[in-house]
Amino acid sequence: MPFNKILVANRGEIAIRVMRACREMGIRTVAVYSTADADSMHVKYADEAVCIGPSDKSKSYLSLSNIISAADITNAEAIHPGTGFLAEAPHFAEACRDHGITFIGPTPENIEMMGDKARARQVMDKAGISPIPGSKGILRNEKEAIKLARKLGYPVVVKSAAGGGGIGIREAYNDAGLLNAFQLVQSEAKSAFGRSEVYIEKLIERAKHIEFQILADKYGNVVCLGERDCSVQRRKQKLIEETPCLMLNPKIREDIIKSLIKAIRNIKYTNVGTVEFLMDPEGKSYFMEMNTRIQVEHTITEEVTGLDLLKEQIRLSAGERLTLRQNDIQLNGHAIECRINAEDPDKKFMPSPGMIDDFHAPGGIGVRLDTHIYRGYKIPPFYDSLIAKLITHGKNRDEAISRMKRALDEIIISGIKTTIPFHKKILEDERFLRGEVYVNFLNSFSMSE
Amino acid sequence: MPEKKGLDMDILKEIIKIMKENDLSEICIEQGGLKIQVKQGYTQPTHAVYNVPIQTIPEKAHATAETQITEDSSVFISSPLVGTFYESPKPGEEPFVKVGDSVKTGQVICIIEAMKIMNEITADMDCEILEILVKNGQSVECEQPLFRVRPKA
Repeated sequence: MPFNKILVANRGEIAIRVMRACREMGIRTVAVYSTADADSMHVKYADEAVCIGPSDKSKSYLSLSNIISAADITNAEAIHPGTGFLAEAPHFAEACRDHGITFIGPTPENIEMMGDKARARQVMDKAGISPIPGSKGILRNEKEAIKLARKLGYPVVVKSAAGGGGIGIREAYNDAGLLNAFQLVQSEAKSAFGRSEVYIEKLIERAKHIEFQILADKYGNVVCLGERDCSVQRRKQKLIEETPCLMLNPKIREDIIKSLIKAIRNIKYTNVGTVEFLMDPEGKSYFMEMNTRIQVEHTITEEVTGLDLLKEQIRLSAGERLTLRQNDIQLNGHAIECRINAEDPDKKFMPSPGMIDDFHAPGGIGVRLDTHIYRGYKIPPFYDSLIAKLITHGKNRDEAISRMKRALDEIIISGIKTTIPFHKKILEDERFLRGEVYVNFLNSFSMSE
Repeated sequence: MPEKKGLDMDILKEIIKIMKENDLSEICIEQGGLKIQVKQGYTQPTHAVYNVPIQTIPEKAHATAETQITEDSSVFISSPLVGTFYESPKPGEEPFVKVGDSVKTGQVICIIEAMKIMNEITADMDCEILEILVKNGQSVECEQPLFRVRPKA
């Protein structure tokens, strides 16, 4: 047993996901919660629970001192940050290290290296992974941006180096648009992240978002668990993910995996990680960014590999060696995940927190539901709208899709609005069925069609 | 913790002394149906306070406020959803509207933040703001009155 007790510094379904892995491993768990989450499932599920502050996340789930104190008083040896909140904050990983607590994730240096998106592009380029054509590092001023944009050819995308979660990204189609975008992204980034540095990339039209799952130990062993296609997005937020990607040529997949393994070893990255690419219609892939945490959509990779990624991550964090070799990785069948959010798809996805009056979970072969909701649970308005992840696994894509349709018909969540009707509609869409979905697909998709 | 029933306080003192010397935080002794459980008081370590950037997604959804008619000629504009009320686009900036302002249909009058999304709330009629019924940063319920306004003919 790598640890006796782990504190989970998160809430919602991801907190439950981490605790489930701990329970199977015989590791005791500590939940932390804000006063708004006293009735939340993760508080009930954990062996112990510590209240770390008010509903305002900056005083609870983002409070380093409160979380580390909670780990101290409960004698937790390690902290799992989940996804979101402090998962990609290098200073949190560092604070854990300073207090002799294991941070379950990559090193603070790894997080910092990839957290600066402009630097990450340079690092990966040097390691042999081509980034999207664009600036080498930060742009100093508008003049430099215009010069480069003309060289790349419009349209281009202006991005914040500190960016994340779809913030600080704007497209530009000409010089005037670029000047405007440059200033807007600078000010958005300044207010959201406290840093205004920007860089530009060429806009890849009809691009698919594909990302590769990595596991790496600190002894230089790296495996890649294939890709996930996350092209069904709304305003840079993923809604449906699947693996494998229908459009990815097997030869190209093999090449990417080979060069990725080499690159990850080269940059001395450890733990779990996801390398995101944009793939153009010719099948050429360009590095976009790397996420230095377990991701929401890790579930579909688990379904096709049969591996428990949380257990793998916990073992890696305890300093264990990877026992898997790349040749051991078998990808079986096809898996899809639909993110069920408390949002009203008929009202421009307006948030819909509130009381769950009734809840019935779908079941049967090949169906998995990761959720923290229960009948009578009141979803607070303060946090993420993700309330459930519905995952289906089939021997091929058609089976995974028909299974997903069945599961979406079976699931009952009433009292609030959810994205379930949206998912049903997408699964009937001709373009989705052909696998021809690009990241801008939802711009041309209407709920009332 | 049992206090009497054959418990020798000297032994207990001895145990605590041993615990302190060995820096133990918890001890449990069972002997012939007698159970002694001792916990050493934890000292809260001091930590530096860090400033963490808040991860918000400034995605903007639009919602139209619902209106309710009152007895006089004024009406209430209520929140279409549960969340946190903000009077201005960003902290420290001028509020969207002030008492006495005239607003037009579709004009943004406040933001309700719910589930990490900043929802811009717009007026669904031309009106004059008579009263602002909630404070900046206050939690509001669905259909809670936010503004008292006088509709313009």
